[in-house]
Amino acid sequence: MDSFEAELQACLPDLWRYGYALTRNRDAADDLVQDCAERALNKRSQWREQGALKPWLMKILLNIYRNQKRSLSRRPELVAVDNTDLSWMPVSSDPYASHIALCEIARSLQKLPEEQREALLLVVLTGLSYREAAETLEIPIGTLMSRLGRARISLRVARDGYSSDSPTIQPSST
Amino acid sequence: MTEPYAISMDMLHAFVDGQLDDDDRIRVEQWLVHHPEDAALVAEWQVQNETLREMFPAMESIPHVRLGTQSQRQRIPLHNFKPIGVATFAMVLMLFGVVSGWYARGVFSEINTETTHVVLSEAMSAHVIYASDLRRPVEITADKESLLVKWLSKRLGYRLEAPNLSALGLKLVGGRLVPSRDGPAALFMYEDDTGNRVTLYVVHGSGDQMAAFRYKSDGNLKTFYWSDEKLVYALVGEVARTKLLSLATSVYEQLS
Repeated sequence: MDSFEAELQACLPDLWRYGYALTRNRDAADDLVQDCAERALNKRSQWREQGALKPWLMKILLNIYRNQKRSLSRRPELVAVDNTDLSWMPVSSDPYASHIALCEIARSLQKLPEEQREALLLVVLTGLSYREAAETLEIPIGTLMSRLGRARISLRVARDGYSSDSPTIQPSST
Repeated sequence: MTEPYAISMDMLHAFVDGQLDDDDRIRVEQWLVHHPEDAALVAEWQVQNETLREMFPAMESIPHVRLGTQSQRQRIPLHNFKPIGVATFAMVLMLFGVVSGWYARGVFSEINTETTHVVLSEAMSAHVIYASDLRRPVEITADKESLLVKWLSKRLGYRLEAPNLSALGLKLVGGRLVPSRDGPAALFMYEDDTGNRVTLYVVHGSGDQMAAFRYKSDGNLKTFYWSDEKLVYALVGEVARTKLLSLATSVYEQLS
């Protein structure tokens, strides 16, 4: 195994985690990582010119994911299942409050615009620097920060207000 | 409330995401002691981050990835991408001039719009379905190009050719037969260095001849289409319109 392959291997756990968060499906994450690795090996000559490997790999993975999602979106009946099914969530052994937080965040995560979801998950789960994340998403850092900011506001409103429809952040008490 | 931010919102995000060096981190920590609103915000974001990490845990074991098996079959020629990009860009500009002049002649013959609509929709569907398929996008791969061309020619009843687009940075992936309202259609697939794919769809024409390219876009998906006396051609891809036009021009020149 040469150094490229060694470095690729080292990036696999983070690639898989991001793929899992995007697809919410372990098998789909496996496939994404496999396809990403294959494509990266095919295109390795191109990378030599470009510096850091991980953002480049993330970019490849994201492209594959977006293409697949687009081809599925022509069949809306398949997408709907993904959006409503929360049974994939791990059962938390933490106190009840933390489980509520998990549910609320999971729900509002699904409601985020795709671009905000991609940005938030990339920053939180993959260990990339802001600069590398911006490079992966092919946006300026300022845009990355604003997507991150908006995503976090949406998640907060959802958690505090129990409904993202409500602009107030008062918990409804009876 | 109106106090100017010595610590910006971006800094707070960076603090939560562990993106600060030690000095900045200590500055933010000190700031938070005296700014409870910001401290609450930071605490909220930390809960969000922890929750996301809990929802999507790192995998238990390294995934089994097959390295260096399939990947060996198509070695990309070791060329530098950037100079080609510049050359392509120059060519695009040149072709754009040529083709817009061609457009300006206004040579549009009568076309059957219903037929065109069907062909376009079939060509775009074929692209969406097969170009996104990473494992088996084509039935016959480019290493058996002559077999591919012979087979598709036989099924369509016309002598076809797979245009060579390597000068524009695209290599042939292969092709397949696809069904259409008007019988069998041929799909040739091309791919650039980043794996972005463009497909050429060829099907029997209705005899309506289009003397110029026509253009249709559906979101990011763009199509140039034209016809000769026998066949209708549609070149479909998610690339810049000017790039697609230069590709279409090259295909047209090679096939006419």
